[in-house]
Amino acid sequence: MKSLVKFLATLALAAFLPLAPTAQAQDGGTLKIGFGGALLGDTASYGLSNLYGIEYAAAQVNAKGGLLGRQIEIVTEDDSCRPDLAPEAALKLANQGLKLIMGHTCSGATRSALSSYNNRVILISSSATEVALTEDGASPYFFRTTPRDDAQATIQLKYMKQKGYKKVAILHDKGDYGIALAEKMQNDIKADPGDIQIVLFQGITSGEVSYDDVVSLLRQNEAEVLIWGGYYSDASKLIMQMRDKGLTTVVIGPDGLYNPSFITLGGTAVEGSVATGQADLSNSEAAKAAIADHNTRHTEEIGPYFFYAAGAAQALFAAVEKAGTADDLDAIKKHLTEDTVETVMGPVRFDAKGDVIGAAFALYEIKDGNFSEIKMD
Amino acid sequence: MNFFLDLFMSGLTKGSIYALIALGYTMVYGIIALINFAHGEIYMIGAFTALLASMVLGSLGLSGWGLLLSVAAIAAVYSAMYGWTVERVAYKPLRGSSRLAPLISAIGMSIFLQNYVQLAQSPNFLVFPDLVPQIDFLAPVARYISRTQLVILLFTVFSMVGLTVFIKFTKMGMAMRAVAQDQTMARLAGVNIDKVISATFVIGSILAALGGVLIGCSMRQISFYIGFIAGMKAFTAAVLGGIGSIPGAVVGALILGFAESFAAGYVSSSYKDVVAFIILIIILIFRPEGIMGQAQTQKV
Amino acid sequence: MTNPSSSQKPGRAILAEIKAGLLASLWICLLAFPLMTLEINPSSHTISFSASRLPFLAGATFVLAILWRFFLRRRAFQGVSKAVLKSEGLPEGLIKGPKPTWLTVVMGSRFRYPVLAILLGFMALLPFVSPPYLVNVMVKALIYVSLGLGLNVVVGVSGLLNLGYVAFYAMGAYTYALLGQYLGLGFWVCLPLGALVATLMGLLLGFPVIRLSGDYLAIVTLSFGEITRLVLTNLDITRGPRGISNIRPAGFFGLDLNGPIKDFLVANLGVDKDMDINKILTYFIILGLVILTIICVFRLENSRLGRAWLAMREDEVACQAMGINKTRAKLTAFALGSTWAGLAGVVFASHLSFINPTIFSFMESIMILSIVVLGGMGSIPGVILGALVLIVLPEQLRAFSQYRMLIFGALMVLMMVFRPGGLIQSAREVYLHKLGGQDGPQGGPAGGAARIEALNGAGRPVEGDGRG
Repeated sequence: MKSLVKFLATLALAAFLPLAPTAQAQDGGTLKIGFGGALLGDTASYGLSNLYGIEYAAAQVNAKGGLLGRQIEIVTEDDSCRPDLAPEAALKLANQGLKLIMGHTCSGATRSALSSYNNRVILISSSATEVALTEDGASPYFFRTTPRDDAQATIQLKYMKQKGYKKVAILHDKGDYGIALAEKMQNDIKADPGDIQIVLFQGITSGEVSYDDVVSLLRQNEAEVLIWGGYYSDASKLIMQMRDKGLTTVVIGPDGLYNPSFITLGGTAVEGSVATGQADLSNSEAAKAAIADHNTRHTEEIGPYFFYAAGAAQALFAAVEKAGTADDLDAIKKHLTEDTVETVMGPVRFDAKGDVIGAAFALYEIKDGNFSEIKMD
Repeated sequence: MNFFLDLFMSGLTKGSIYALIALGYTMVYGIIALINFAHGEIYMIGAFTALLASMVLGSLGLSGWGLLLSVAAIAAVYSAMYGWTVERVAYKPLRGSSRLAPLISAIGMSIFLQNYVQLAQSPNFLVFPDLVPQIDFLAPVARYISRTQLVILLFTVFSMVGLTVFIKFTKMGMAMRAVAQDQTMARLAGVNIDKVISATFVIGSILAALGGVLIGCSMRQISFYIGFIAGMKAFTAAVLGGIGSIPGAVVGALILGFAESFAAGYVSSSYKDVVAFIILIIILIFRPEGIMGQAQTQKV
Repeated sequence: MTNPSSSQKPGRAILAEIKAGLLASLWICLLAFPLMTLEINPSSHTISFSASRLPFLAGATFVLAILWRFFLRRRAFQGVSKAVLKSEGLPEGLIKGPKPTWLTVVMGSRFRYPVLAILLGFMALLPFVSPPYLVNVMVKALIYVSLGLGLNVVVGVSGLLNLGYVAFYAMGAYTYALLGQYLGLGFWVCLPLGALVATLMGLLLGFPVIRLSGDYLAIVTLSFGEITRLVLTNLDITRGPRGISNIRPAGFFGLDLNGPIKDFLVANLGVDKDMDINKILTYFIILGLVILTIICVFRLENSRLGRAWLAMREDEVACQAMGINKTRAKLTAFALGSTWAGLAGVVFASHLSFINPTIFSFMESIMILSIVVLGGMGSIPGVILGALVLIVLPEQLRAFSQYRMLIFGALMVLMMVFRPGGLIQSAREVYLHKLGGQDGPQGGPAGGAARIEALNGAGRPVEGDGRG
């Protein structure tokens, strides 16, 4: 026992020594690109869909001889989407001398990671949607390919007015992504209500065993349409239980629902639901090739952030290639904001704040198990 | 009135789902006074095994009640094996040490099993097939109660009664009660303690697995993380009812279910968990040993 | 598990071990069979079979099973020797006290102060010579040390199982975040305020729940933790799940640490050029807080109140019979524990600069509890080691990327199984042996046995286990 304590104590002390990763300059070998995000925990699927997109973009470049003549290697660190774990992941990446990092997955974790990077790296997120991340202008080297939280309410509200819905229920999953969407919608309606009346505005608990009580609430308030702020797994469960109980309220959701998994999970119940999403990629050859490639590598369905991530990585690689350096942040930033790059998610260029330009939203309705675009004037 | 009835039914469903898992918690606690944190994970593994089994058996052409029953049987066997192994590895070597040591190793086990399933299967939500066949006579009242809810309710009542009979009238049940009362005395009286504790875990795990199958049918999607949320609620319910008491677990679960449901309906679903937890605290302040728990006089 | 005769025929014993190992690995493979071989393809809704992972699993479990049995047997033999000692009523065992560990040896010797000074010097130098990542990890580890020491007062010393400790941590963090955000108050004003808020909440919760014992107390505190998190999520003033960002780091007499001071430090002391000097300040603040906590807890444990807590942990009824005011003892334990959580919370908020309610989840309470139990309940060095292990270990395991938490969970089980009393067990009764003569203070083998049990320390139940 004594020796065991001694052993453990020595271990604990010795543990700190290798903790100090040596800041090494990038050698002539591979070009390391960092990825920080959720690879473990309950949000792992979102993080992995980001990672797969980046891996796809890297594999494409590597097959053509690499970037600046070097093969790209992706270094991953997990933050489990937790703001308290993100600084360690961020510093671990930054301390290896990485200058180009993709991530992080969730807004909260991105927020606390940004203060750890302290403007030392180019950070491109493909799933952090909180408005303030770019809006506050505090992070000149932060970019994102995902549209911001505030971009979706406008088109959804327009659709509701066109359809003539009057009684609206707004529900969110109490997560940072969901609540931002819900509140933006609430504010937009309050600003210009027209005939629309908000009958319900509440948060529900994500991952619950049953949403029957929420279904009763919707029925009681006679909501014609439900605006959902959150991801597809809770939404599909909620909609299924609504349909089980014979409730026909139309559901309009954010890009968190624009995902094949939503239809797979919801089955026939989600038929007729509406989601905002990125411009239709079904006719794009590049997107088709990416989907085919994804399906040969992974058994799971293509994730919600795959295209945003692949697009972000392709834009970054193009900017690095043009800048001719992987270390000069300002040179890379210049190309990111000045050149438009053709990527699997469409043309990508960033504005001065770091948001992607021209990522217009489209509305999709689920018809016969597929997303079909709703043409609006 | 309809609204009230709706909420009542949803509380009942939720309560019976919590009860299915709470029974396993309360059994283990009753015998060895251990909060088995890995119980929620056993339930999750039951659901995953059921999903895999249903896909294999489904492709072999099985369907209807036959499919449901065989899937449930396979899930029960596997979960029992897992439960038994978890007890052997994480709790048995800790018998006789402080009360908190097995609690921590249970938490370690829970983290391990969650990550094991995430790595072995998938980090995503997976579709769980609706295995409960159509029940025709329910069609007129489908607004209030779905067939899955009915099966869950019936099953909860059935397992509560079954467990009570088992504990009261069988030899193993008697041995369990003896071990619960006094391990040393039970050992002196010739009860094989290891066997009794293993049996407790096996039964608890079977219940969890059946819960996993039924809840999977009701939610129709599962992920490696479902055990944590359901497990915490079920554990709360078990304590509320008086941990160690089998009818207590069901009563506690129903109260929790109703509290959540009515709070969602009449207060706000944003605050329903807050209301449920406040009710729990108030009940425990006035009945510190839980609703059905027996007050224990402490011996010096 | 033990089989003393096996030593006579080593060949057969080895064969038996191999057989047991094979059996175990077969069993694990059987367990893992469906989950690790069948894979679902959700888009096509088909299932595929691949047994490629099984041989590796079988090999690994075979080796692990043999090691497991070996170490368990070693542990069991040690138990036997103690039991033999007990049944024989040997006075030596009683007089010797607990086996000296490297820690007690050092701390008992005249090298105590030099060792402490060297340790302190090392800790003080650390941030100047290490990269930002390491400083960050150290700050976090130290925050958990102080949280662990605070919870140790509640759980380890007083025996009150608190599963909602994170609520008080959140109170501290949010006190600073909100007061800083809305009133512009600085860190140094908020540090005592955060502690005060947490203490008051501890008292508020303490009053109704002191009647409860054991797991009922645990569930009420758990509920309190969850209520706190949910309220923080739902309130507008806390910005709900979006949290509060741009929380200012601690100030240092209004100086801009990242200005000329940083240039000086980088040029002359070899500080990493990417270092945020505020982090170094935070490091020293939390280091000071930990040292203060250690002194306080150490003094408290040996005070009248500390003795009352210990008595309460061992036996509530007996402690009341001794004339100890149980209500007051419980309340002070609760409130004092909360104070440290509040202090740690303020430092944490200033360190992270962003907080949201997801940080203060139930799992966090569990992690802090694990620190206390894994380190050794009631033992100050134990809790420190526990915090370092549980916070640094996941960082160390980053090399295993996706297997990180899998290995972490397994290690938690292993540490508990092989050190059920914690890494460093509480040795509070060390001084007793000086009283004892040949027969010990109470004399007689019965008293001796009880003493040995007490010396073995942490094998105490928390709260009477309700069944007497």
